[in-house]
Amino acid sequence: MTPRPAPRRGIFEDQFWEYVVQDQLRLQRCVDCGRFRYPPGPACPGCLATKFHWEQLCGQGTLLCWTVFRRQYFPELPVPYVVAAVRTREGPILVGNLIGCGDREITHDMSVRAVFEEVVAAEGTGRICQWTPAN
Amino acid sequence: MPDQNRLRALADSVAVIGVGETRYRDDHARARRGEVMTDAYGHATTAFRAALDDAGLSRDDIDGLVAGPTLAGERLGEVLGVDPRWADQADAVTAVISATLAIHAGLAECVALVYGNDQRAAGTQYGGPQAMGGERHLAYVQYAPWGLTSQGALYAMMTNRYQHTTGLTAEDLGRFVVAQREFARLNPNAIMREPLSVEQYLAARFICEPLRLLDYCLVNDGGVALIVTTTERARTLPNTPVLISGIGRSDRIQDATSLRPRLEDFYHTAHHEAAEQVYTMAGAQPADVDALQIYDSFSIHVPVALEGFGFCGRGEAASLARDGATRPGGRLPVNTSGGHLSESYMQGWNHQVEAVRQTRGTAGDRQVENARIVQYISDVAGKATSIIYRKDRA
Repeated sequence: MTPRPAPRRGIFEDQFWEYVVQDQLRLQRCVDCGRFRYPPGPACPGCLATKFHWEQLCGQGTLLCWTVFRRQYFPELPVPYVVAAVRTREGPILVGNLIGCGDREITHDMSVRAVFEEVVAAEGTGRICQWTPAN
Repeated sequence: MPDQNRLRALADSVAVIGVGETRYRDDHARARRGEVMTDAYGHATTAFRAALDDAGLSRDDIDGLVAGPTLAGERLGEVLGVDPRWADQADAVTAVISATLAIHAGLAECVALVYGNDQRAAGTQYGGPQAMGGERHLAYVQYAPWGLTSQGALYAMMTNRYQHTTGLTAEDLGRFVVAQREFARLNPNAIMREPLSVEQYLAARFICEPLRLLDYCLVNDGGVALIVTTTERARTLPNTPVLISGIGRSDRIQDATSLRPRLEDFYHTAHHEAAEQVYTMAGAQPADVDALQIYDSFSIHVPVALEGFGFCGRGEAASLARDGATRPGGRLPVNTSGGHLSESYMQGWNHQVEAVRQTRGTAGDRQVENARIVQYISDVAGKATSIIYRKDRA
């Protein structure tokens, strides 16, 4: 278990994290036009409709880009660590740490998959969605 | 859509007539010794007085006031002893545009644009648990659970993808940084004046790979002020008027927090639209630009903006760096004061002052020969904005 800065809270964010605790990566998807949205929010940027459901993502994606933190910004997060932007198969770009690479070279557009880690934040233990090489 | 007929009526109708700055270099040396002499409003006041002196105006001439984003507008007017008839609050480039519009519309005749920042003395945090800016840019704080907060880290991710797409190397990025340092060495008010080589740049530590220490802007205290008025009135004052000849803006906000316009487009769509607007309004093109000032909180802003505004093709900025085009004496001098990397981090405000000095021809040892058209470009968080400054026909 690694200590983590707490996530932003709000009525839409809270639901996202409640699914993560259940090892589910779900994003809001517009009932009217089918568009996904992230960060969680009140309306569809595509059609302004407010109805949505939480659709589960398949957890597959490709690596758009990454940075390796060498300077430590959070006392609870030792460096180095990798932060990656992932193009999910469903389309939205999600950010997470790239973990479990071992000696593997990190390359652009490599296949990655979602994994869930147990973490400790100020408000207690929880889960977080991370990314790891798919094969 | 922007209306070029209306914009052409605005072009060259408003002028910058006074500029003022604090002593960045001296103040920074004091701050590093722990000597805190004043606060953000104090720096703002010093710059305001300098700008009034430069313009040959008195405080009673000022009927409009724009406060920089780090200051409270009411408190600024109170400290400066100004009761404006028109007032606003804006970042650097928006302040120039807003004042230009207000003067052209007749809301005010003589507007002071005033900025002050005590970010170093106050210990402002740009990353980590106390990262600033989240109330305006959600991406600055959204990803804290994964340890991603600083603006530099967001630009590091952009740089990572940009290098993969274009082939820009670490050495190329270093050449832009070194070129700005060469200008700073000609600027007595620049904070970073020590010689710098590409090898030294590469030897500096990483902050967020692939960005190194010297890819990051300074964090220092200071103030900047500009006085803007009608071109008619400017022509009655001692300085050569510097005309606001073109304005361009285009924002890419959709999917901003998911970083899509930053990481997939490098904001180039916004650059293209802002470029078309500013060049059409000013009746100019990139080849006419004598010097460029580019908002450079991070070095990567420079190649990305050069490509986006058409100074070279996509993926060709590296060749400009290798040719030394952006250096002193080069064919496209960039950030001729040293910019945020080597002169002072005044969030785009010092770039306006440098643009005015270069256009006037009063930039001292770093003066670009026969400069008549100087362009400013910023693209902070996808808000691509540009101003073309033009020397008044004497």
